[in-house]
Amino acid sequence: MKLKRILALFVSVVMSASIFVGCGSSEPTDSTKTEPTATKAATGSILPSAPVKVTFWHSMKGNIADQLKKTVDEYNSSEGTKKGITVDLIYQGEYDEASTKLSAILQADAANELPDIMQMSSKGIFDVKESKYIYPIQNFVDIDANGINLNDLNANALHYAMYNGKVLGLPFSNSSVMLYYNKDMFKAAGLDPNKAPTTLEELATYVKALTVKSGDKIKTFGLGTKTRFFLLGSWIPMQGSEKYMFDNADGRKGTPTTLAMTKDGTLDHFLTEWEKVLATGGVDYGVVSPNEGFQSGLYAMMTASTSSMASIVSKIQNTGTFDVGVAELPRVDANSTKGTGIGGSALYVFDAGNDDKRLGAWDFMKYLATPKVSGDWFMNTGYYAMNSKAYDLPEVKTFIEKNPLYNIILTIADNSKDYPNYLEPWVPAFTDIDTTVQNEIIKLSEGSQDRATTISNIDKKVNMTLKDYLDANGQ
Amino acid sequence: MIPNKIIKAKSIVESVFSLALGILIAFPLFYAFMCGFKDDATFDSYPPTIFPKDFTYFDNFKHVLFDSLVPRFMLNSLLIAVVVTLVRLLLSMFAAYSFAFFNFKGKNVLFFIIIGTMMIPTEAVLIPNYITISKLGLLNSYVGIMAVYFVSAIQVFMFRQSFKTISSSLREAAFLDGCGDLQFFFEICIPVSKATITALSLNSFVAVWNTYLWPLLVTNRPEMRTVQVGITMLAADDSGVKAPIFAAIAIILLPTIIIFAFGQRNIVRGIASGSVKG
Repeated sequence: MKLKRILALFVSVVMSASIFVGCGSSEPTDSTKTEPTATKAATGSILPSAPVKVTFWHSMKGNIADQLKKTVDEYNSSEGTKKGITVDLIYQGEYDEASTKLSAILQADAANELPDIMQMSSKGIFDVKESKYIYPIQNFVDIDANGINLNDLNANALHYAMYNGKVLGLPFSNSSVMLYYNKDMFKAAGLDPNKAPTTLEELATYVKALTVKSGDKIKTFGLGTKTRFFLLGSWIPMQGSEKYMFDNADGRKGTPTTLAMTKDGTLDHFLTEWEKVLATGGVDYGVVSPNEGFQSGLYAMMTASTSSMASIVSKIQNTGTFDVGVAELPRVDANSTKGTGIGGSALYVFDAGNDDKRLGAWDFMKYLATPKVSGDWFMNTGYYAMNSKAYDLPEVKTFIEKNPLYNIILTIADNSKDYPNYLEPWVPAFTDIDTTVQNEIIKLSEGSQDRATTISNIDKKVNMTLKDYLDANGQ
Repeated sequence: MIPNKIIKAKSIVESVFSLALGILIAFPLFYAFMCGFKDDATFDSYPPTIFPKDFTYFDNFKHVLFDSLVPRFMLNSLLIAVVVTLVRLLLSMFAAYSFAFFNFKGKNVLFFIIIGTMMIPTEAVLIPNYITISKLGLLNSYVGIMAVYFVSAIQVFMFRQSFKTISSSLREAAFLDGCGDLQFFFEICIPVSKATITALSLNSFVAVWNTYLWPLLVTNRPEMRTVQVGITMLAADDSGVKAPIFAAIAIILLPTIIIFAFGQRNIVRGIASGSVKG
C-alpha cells in the first residue's frame, strides 16, 4: 500500500517534470545586442582576418542537395580559396529535426556547437527569431555597400525572411503554389488545353468536366490537392489588402495571438467558393503530394509547388508521358488580387562571437545571391532565383526558351511583386495548427460538418493552441 | 478424445493462417528488395509492377554502396548497436541481481524509480539528455551517442523477474558450499536466463540500429551518422529518384534480418532448455 503511494507520487513528479521540460522557454532574448558588433565590424574589413571554416547546416535532400553541394564546392575552389574561407556543408536532417537540434543547443547554451549558417523553414525560424545568437542579414547590408542590393532580390522572398521590418535571413529555397494540368485530358474532355481555370468557380466546372467515373468508382479525379497553409497563404490574403491568416501580420510583427481569417470573413468566403469545387465530387482533397498521382493519370489537375517543376519537366514532359500545362493558382473569385503567396526557407547567420566566421558566412551569402548562382539554382530546382537579375542572363534565357513551362514561375513572380505580404505564417506549433486546419476542412469536404461548424472549430482549436503557447511562454 | 481429422484440419487452418500472415508481413520487405533492382522508368510505371524488368540492374545498389556514405553509416550503426547491447545486458543483469537477491534499505523505492522511468516519453528527455551529454563534453563522439542507451529499465525489470524464478534456498545452499555472488551469477543466473538474454539482446540491437533522432542530435559530422539518417539523405520530396532509397533500405535491413533469423532459433532453444530445468 505504502509502495503504491510512493509510486504514484513518483509518477506524478516525473510527468509534471516532463511537461515543464517540453515547454521550457528557450534562452533569454536580446535583439539589441547585435548592434555594437555591427559597428565594430564596420570599422574593420568586411572579410575575415584569418582563414576560416564556415559551417552551413541544411535540410535539402536528393538532387537538390546535390545541386547545393556543387555550388558550395565551386565557391570553395574559387572565391573561398582566394579569401581563405571554406564552407562546410552539413545535412542536419529534415527541417523539424534540424530545429530540434538547434533548440537543444540553445537550451544547453552550447554556443560553440552553433552553425554559422543555417537553413530554416518557417517553423524553425519562429522559435529563434528573437534569439540573441541570430545575426540579421540587415546588419551586413547596412555596413557592406557593395554586398547585396536588396532591390535585386525577389521582393516576395525577401519579405518572407523579414521580421519587424528588418531583413533577418537571406531568402533561399522559396517557391509558390501553382496549378499543373494534363493537357491530354483537357483535350479528351473537350476543354481548351491552353486555357486553365482562373477562379474557384471556373475550377469547379473544369473539375466536373475532367472527372472520369467508371461505375461508382472515380478513375480520374479532376483535382488532387490539400488545403495546406501553403495554399491558404495565397487564398486568404488575395481577398483584399492587409488580409492575414493570423494577427501580427502572420507573425512578421511579433508572435501571433489569434486567428484573423476566421473573424474577418475571409475563411468563410474562401470556403463558400471552395464548396462549389467540392460539390463536383471530383476532388481528391486529402493528398499532400499529388505529384505521383498526377504523373500516373489519377489527377487531371493538381496544386503543387513551383519547386516540383524540375522533376515534372524531366519525368513527364521530357519523357513524353503527356503534355503538361501550367497556370497560376486559381483566384478565390474575380475580385481577388493577382498575387500568389510564398513559402519555403531562408538562410540565417548565427553569431557565437567569432567575427571571422560571421564575415566568412556573409561572403558566401553574397556569392549565393549573385545572378549566376541564383540562375543555376532556379534552373535546377524550380525555386525562385534569389537574385531576379538571374532571369536576364543569356544562359537562363536560353534555358527558359527550351523549357517554356518555366515561364509560369516568372509570371507568378511578376504578378506577385506588388503583394509582398502573402507569406507562409510564422506561428507557434506550426505543424499542429496546419494539421488542425486541414482536418477541419477535410471534415467539411466529406460532408460530415457544415461551413459554420468548420470555421468555429478552427477558430476554437487554433486559438486554444496559440493561447497555450503564449501562457507557457509568458507573453 | 479429439478425432485425428479435427486435429489435422485445425493444423491446416493454422498453417494457412500463419502463411498468409507471414506473406502479409514479408511483402513490403520483399517489395523493397524488388524496387532496388528497378530502373527509373520501371519504378514510376503505372500500374506499378512487383518485379523489376531485369534482375541484373545493379545501378541503385552500386550507387548506395560506392557513391554514398551508407557503408560507413552501417559500420557506425553496427558499432553502436553491438556495444550498447553488451553494456546494457551487463549493467541490467547486475542491477537485477541485486534487486532479486539482496536486501537493502530503499530497495523497492529504488526499483520503482527505475521502473517509473519507462513512463517518460523519449521526446521529453531528448533535450535534457542533450544538455547532459554536452556538459560532459561528449558531443560528436560515439560514447555520446551510446551513453544514454546504456541502462534500460525494461531490461532491469525483465532480468529481475527471471532471477526471481531461482529459489533463494538454492542460493543459500550454494553459498553454504562456498559459492560466491559472482560465481552464482555466472554459473546459475546466466544459464537460467538464456532465453531472456537472447530475446532482450535482439530487441535491443534492432532498437538501437533503428534509432534516428538522437544520433542526429549529438553528432555534427556526416561520417558519424547512423544508417537511418543515411536513408533520409538519399530522398528528396519533390525529386523523382526513389529507387536508390529502396536499394539502401534493402541493404540496411539485411543485418536485422540475419540477426533475427539466427536469433529466432536461439530463442526457441533457450526456452526449451529453460523448461527442461524447471
